Formats: sequence, structure tokens, C-alpha cells
Amino acid sequence: MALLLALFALGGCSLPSLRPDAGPEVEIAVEPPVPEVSVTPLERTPLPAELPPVAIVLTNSQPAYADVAMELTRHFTRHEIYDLSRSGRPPVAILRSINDSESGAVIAIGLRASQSAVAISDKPVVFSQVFNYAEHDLLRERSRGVSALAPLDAQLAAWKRIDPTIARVGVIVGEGHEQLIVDARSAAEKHGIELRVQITGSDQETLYFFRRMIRDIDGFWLLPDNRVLSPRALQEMLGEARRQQVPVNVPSESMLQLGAVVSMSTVASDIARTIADIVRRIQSGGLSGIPPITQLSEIRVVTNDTTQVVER
Amino acid sequence: MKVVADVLRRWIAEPVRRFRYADGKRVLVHEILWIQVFSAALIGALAIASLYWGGQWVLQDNYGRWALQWTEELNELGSPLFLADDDEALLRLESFVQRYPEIQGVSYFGKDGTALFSVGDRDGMGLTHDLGKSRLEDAVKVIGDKKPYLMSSDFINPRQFEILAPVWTESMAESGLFDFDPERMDAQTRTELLGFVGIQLDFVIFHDRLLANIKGAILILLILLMVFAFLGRRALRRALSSISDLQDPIRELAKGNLGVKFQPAEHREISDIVEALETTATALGERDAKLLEMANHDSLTGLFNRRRFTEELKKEIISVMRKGHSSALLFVDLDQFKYINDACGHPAGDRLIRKVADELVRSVRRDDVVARFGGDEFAVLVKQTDIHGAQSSAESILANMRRLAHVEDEHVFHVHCSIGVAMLTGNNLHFDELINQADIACREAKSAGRNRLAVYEYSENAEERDKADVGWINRLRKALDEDSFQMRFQPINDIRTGETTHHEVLIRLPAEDGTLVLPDAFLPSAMRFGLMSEIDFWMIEHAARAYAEYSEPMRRLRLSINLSANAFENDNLVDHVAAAFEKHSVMPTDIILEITESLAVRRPLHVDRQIRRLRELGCQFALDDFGTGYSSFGYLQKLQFDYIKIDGTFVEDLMNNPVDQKMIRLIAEIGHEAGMKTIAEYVQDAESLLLLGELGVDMAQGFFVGKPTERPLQINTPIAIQSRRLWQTQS
Repeated sequence: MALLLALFALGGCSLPSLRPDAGPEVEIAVEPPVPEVSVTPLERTPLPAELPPVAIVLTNSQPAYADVAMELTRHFTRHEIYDLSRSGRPPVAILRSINDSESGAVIAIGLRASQSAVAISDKPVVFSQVFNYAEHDLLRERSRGVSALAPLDAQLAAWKRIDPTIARVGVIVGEGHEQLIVDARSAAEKHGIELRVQITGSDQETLYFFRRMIRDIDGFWLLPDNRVLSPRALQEMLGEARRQQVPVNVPSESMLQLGAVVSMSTVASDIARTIADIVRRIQSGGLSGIPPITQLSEIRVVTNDTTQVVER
Repeated sequence: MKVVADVLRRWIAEPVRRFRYADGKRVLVHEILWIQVFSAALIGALAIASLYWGGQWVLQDNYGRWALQWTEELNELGSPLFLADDDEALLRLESFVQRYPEIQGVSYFGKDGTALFSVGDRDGMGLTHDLGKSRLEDAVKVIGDKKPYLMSSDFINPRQFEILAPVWTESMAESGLFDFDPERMDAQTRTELLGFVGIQLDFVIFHDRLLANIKGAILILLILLMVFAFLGRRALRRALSSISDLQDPIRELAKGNLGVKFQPAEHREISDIVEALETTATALGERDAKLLEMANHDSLTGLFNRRRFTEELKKEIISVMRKGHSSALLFVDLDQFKYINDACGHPAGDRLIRKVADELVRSVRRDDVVARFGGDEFAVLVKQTDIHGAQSSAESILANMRRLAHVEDEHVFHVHCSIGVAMLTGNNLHFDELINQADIACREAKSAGRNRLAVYEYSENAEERDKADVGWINRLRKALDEDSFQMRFQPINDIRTGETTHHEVLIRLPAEDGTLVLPDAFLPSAMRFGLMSEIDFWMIEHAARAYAEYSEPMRRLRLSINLSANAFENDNLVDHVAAAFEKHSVMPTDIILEITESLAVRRPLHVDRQIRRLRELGCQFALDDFGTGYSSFGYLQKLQFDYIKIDGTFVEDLMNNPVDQKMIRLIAEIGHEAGMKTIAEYVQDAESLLLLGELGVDMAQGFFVGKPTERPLQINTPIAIQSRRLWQTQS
């Protein structure tokens, strides 16, 4: 796999169109990203110079979580890291001990850590790497979150640059993401893309609707909703998309192995910086004024070199 | 069952039996053909069965693959029905079912097995009832398997299937998508059962197509079998025609035509049979020739045997009848053959017989026929000859026989024969009678002194005489049973004193006409028919009785009794003699037992033992007929005898034959040297008696000395004074 890594700092890139085909392997030549995407910067408030001590709680030490934790340590000189999968103590005990500590906030990474922290901690909680936060009722009075997705606008901008002909993008997602759908439609409209969204309840339904919509879209945007995806559904969808020459944008780089054309994932340092900003704002002014979910600003784009690129 | 058996018997077994049999016999061609056709049909049936089951297996395998695909599709199509209120999904489902005619119906069930709804349901095969607990459990177990369904089929109706598959959803772990690992996708999966889908399948199209193919294959097989049977029958008949061709030659061979020719066969196996048959025919021919040789010839001499001679005789009789000439039948019997046989054994006898046969063949013309009747009897058919020619031939044979000297064990034997002649003339042409006549004539020649010929002369009472002759055995048997034999006593006198020293007891057979038959006439028959031993014992008994009767007046009576070799074959001889002597108060020392020279020379161990016991009893022994068979005087030294009786042949022509004189002198001298007294037989006149005395013989016997009388008489010999003086001077 030829790895193309482009970091869009609130910008976009101009890339050739990607279309999967069953032809021979072709090396993809991608020009350096050209930031054309204009993103509205976050509203900045004066922040304290020193961050408070924090407790970092990880669901487990998988790279997606550990990388974020590692980046966080650069921002927080005083911190404590707890890995629920490796600690001999139950999450309740860990969180209670955190309550008794001098930590000014709890940073939870992953669903399990976030659920435990939101439920037990009496300190402000910032959670990340959780997609279905609404289903698990993670947004409470003392908790705020960081988006699990790369910035939607940036994703569509990058996709548009890669494949300028793309006009209809299909999205299938489970229930509880109404705001996400609104944001996505808004971003799509901005880039001249028609977003076709289908709400499903299972992988079977996802597959069923995917097969129905595949002939009517130019690309499929796979959102990381684990409730409506299964390995079989993933394989069937990506296989069908390949047969139909419909590029699929996946949220994880490793999914490229299944036949996806491009992956657009979050960046750990971006997540850490965003969390640090939130904690800093909490320290300076409390939770009020902080949106429930803070969007990220950076995106990581990787294309699949085993997929033939077809200009449209 | 009985009906089935009747049908099988009527339609299969009986036609097969009729096919295999023709004219009540099994037909090889049909049997081989039946085996081949049956084998081919069996193989074909197995092939068709294999085709059917193989096709079924392939179809079922394909059914399974289709079922898997359809199950997945129906699973997918059915899920919205469980999860979302989607009317379009139902329409899609119905469309799907309509698209595949093999799908008879689709039914959906809830998690608990409750029947929800059915789609299609052709032929009413749909599952309208709830699922049972066990089926539910089984169906749940296949979730996530490679074949996530249960498929059941009907054994009797294998074209129909029923599939039950669980409908479930899968989802990934929350964290799975943030750190997606394609290698661990399944481990990150969670499932949730939604319900079940049941599919009823009927692959009637494929099944019917398979059956149609199999029917076609069966039809082709039957046609091939029929063609094969037709062609196979022709080929077999052609191949086996070589065997059929053997039928006529074998039939000819069975009839005895050993010269039959067998056609060469093309096939190796049949060629071997032909070769074996030819070998058999050759062997049969050789065996027939050998049997013919054995049937017609005497194995010892190679001459014709009696059967063949009779055929030749019959032919000659026909020739005589047609042409009017005459021929002669000579019956030849050896005179002293028995001595050689007894003395030197049968091998020596056989050698002599062969020599005699050769001599006979040399003695007659080429066209004449010589045959051996058995034992020492020969016959000669002298063709186209009259009585003079026949006599001339007989004389020639006699002369040649007299010259014949047979050497055996350093001993020289002179073989003489007696010949009976019967003429084949116009009024004497029955072969049996001719042989009988020649035999009778031969016996007459023997009776007349042997070494001569006699011509059968037909007379009015000849037939009666023949019948009497043929009945010798009955007469002997009757004489023994009725004790009708008679004894005669012939004196033996001392030549010097003229006084009777003892009497030889002679046996006579009374004839119906009152005459007495001499022993030479009946003893050969008695010997041949095993009556000799009885006659010997008769002699002993009656001699003892005579001794008791006549010894009183004469004060001293000594009797000489002839015993045959047969008497010594009986182990009871000594006991019998002793008992008879005791019964009649006989002094054993007054009894002289005469035995033949042949028995004396060739006496087996048991005979020797009996002689020794009789000597111990007190009996004396005389060697009878000395000089006729053995020319070696060495035996006289070995034998323990008291008397030597010189054979009459030396005496009858004594006056004119200096050789006989020298022989007698020699015998007398050797006898004296051995301590034995000599007795000359056949003394007919005074001159002979005187000469015998001069030659040193001690005693004489003969008509001149005294004829046999009914009772023993003291008859002194009338001796000339000159002779008496001579004896006195010598003494």
C-alpha cells in the first residue's frame, strides 16, 4: 500500500478521482495538498497558561486510544493514566480514587472509560473516541465530548478534490445521529454534493439498503456506527461497491484492505489538542459555553494503491 | 410374495430356461450368450444406478449450494420485515420467490418459532405451523456456520427439500471501528437472533430431467444389449462351429472307424481337442491291433490260438465244401512235456514249447496253419491234402521231433509227440467234431505207445465211443464214488532165480462193455481234472486191503504201489498211508512206493520230507520209468532209492539196439554201485530176459514174466538151463 498522508490544516486538497476497478494495480500520484477548504476557526477565549492535573482513563491500550493518551501527556504535565483493561481494580474503584485525587478533570478515551467516568466521576469529564455517545447518554452536565469523526467538511472537501465528479454520496447510519446528519448535509451542500442518508437498525438492513442505493450514488461514506455494521456486511458492501465501481470512504485506514478507496480518519494529536483546549476552557470558565461535542480540525487521508484510479 | 414369484418364474425364469435349452439339452452358445448378456445387463444396471445416485448426489450438492445462496438472500430480504415496516421488502420477497420456480414457498418465524407469514406457498407446502423446540434449538446452533441452515429431504421423494435457517443480525464492537483489524473482524462480532426463515424447495425440473436421461440411458442400454445378443450369438456360433464340425468324425470314431480324418481347427483350444482326438484314434487303433493279436494268437509262441485256428478251420471247411478237395487236421500232443515242466520248472517248459512251435512251423508248408491249443497241445491244419499227404506231414513232424534235442540245465531232453489225424472230407465237415476226432486219434496214438500217429477212422460206433471218451471225467468220478476201480497185480521176478519177489499193483477202469481200460487212457484226464490224488489214495487203501487179504496164504507178499506227484502234494499222505497200513496190518517193509523220475529229481522240500517220513515208516522206494526223461546218472547217486525201474523203451528193442544195451548195462552198474536193484520193464521174451540178466539187471517185469492178474500169483519165470548155469557160474 502506498501511503499518502496529507494533513489538511483546515484546508483541502486537490486529488485525482478515485474509482475502484478490477484492473491491475496502479501507483497513485498525488500532488501536495492545496488548502482550499475554508473552515471557520473556533472561537478562541483567553486560556490559562498552565493546565491542571488530569486523570486520563483508557478503555484499553489499543493504538487508537493509546496514541491519543500519548499526545495528551504532552499537553498535561501533571496527569495520571488509568487503563481499565489492565488495571486489577474495577472501573468504579478507579474512578472513585480519581475523585479523591487532585485531578481537575477526567479525560476518558473509548466507550467503556467514558461510560464509567460519566457515571461515577464528580469531576468534569471530557470523553473522546465514542461515536454513539447519544445512545449511551454520555452528554451530561459535567461532561463534554470530542467528535469521533474527522471534520465533515474537510472530509467532503478532500473527497471532492480527489474526485471532483462526485455528486451523490450515500450514508447509512443508525439512529441517534440526527445532528450529525444535519451537519453532514450542510457540509455536502456546501461542496455541491447530494447526501443520501438511510437510517437502519442492523447490518442486514444496512446491507439491504446499501444494495438498493449503490446504483444511485457516486460514492459511499461509511460512518463508524458499529451497531449497523458487521464484518460480513462490511465485506459485502465493499465487494459490491467494487463491482459497481463506487468509491467508499472509510473512517479507518486499516479498512482499505477490504477494498475501500480512501480512508479519512482523525489525527491523535488533533484530538489531544482539542481535549486540552476544552480542559483549559473548563479550568478558566467552567463547562458553560463549551459545546457538547467539539469538532476536530485535522484529517488524515490515505488512498488505496491497489485500487485503480479512474478519472471521471 | 407368491404372486411376485409366479410372475418372475413366468416372465423371467421360464423364458431363460427355454432359451438355454433346445430339444431337452443345454445349448452351449445360448448359455455363454446368456452369461454375457446377463453380465452386460448387470453392469449396465449398476452403471445406470450409479448414474442415478451420482446424479442425485450432484443435484443435492447443487441444491445445497443454491440453498445456501437463497438462504442468504432470503435472510437479507427478510430482515427488514423483522426490523422495519417496509412493504417494499415484502414485494421484493414475493418477486424473489416468483423468480425461482424451485422455491415452493417461504415462511418466516419469530425468535420463539411462532409462524409469522408465508410467501409463495405453492402446492400448499408452506410451513404454516410453529416450529418445534428441538428444531428451534438445532437452527440456533448453525448461526455463524459456513452452512447456516438445516436442510432435510425425503428419502422416497428426494427432489423435495426443506430448509430452515436462522435470521440474525451482526454488529461490531464499539471500539472495533476505531482500531479496525481485518484479521480479527469475526472476533469483534456480536450477533442478535431475529427469527427464522423456512424454504420449501422442489427440484422437480432437474429431477425429471435426470429421470428422462436415465430412461434414455436404459433404452440405449437395451438396444445395445439386443444388438450385442444378436451379434454375440452369430460370433459364438461361428467360433464354436469348429466344435460342431467334430460331431461327425467323433460319431465315426464311436462306430469304430479309426481311420476317420479330423478337419484342422483354427482356434488353439479346439485344435488341441482335435489333436487329442487324433491321438485317441491312433491309440485305439493300436489297442485294437494289440487286442486282435491277443485274441488270435498264443502269447507264448506267437502261433494262432484255438479261437483263431477254429476260424481258419471253418474257412477251410467252406473251401472244402466249395472245391471238393480234402484237408487234414493234426492234433499234436507232447509225450514227456510234463516231466520237463515238473523237473525244470515252467520257464523251462515255456522255452521247450517255443522250440516245439518253431519246429512245427518248419515241418509244415507255408500255407498250412499251426496253432497252440494250450499246454503241450498243438494243432496243424494241412490244407488240400489227402490221407497220405496228411500222414506224410504227421510223419515228418514226428521225425523232426525225434531229432529235436532240448538242452536245459546241462541236461538234454528228447521230446516226442503223439499225433492224431482227422480228415476234412465231404462228409466230415463240422469243426467241433473234427477237433474232437483228432484229439481222440491222438489219445489212441498215446495209448498205442506214444511217439506215433493215429488216424481217426470213422465207424458206426465211433460216435458212441467219442461220447464215452468225452465222458472220462464222469466215469472216473463215478468209479471213485462207486469204488469200481479194479486192481491187477503184475509179478516182478528175480532174473537169476526166476522167482517172484513182489507185485506191482496196477489200476484198471472197468468199461461198460466189461473190458478194462488201461491207466494211460484215463490218468491224463484224471491228472488234468485233479482226481489223481484221490486215485492214489484209493490205490493205497485197496493195496493195503489186498495185502491183508493175500498175504496169509503166501506168507510173504510184497507190493509195489505207484504214487503220482499229486499224492505228495497232500500233507496227509504219510498219515493216510500209516493209517491204512495199521488198519490192515501191513508191514511197511513189504511195501515199495514207486515214484516217477521227474518227481524224484525235482522234489520240493515238503515232498522230500514226506518221502523221508515214509522211509522212516519202513517203506521202500522205487524210481519208475528211469531213463525216459533224464540222461544224467548223477541223480542216482543223490537219490535214496531201493529200486530202479528201467523204462520199457530201452527194453522193447533191446535185442537189436546196442545203444539200449549199453544204456541198460550202465544203469545196472551204477545202480549196483549205489546199492540199488534194477528192474527192467516191458520184458516180452526169453531172449530179452537172458540178455538183461547178462547186462546185470536184477529183476524183470513184463508179459513174459507175468501178465497182470486179478490177484497176486507166484509165477516163476521159465529160465533156460544155460542161463541158469551162467548165473550160477557168475555167482
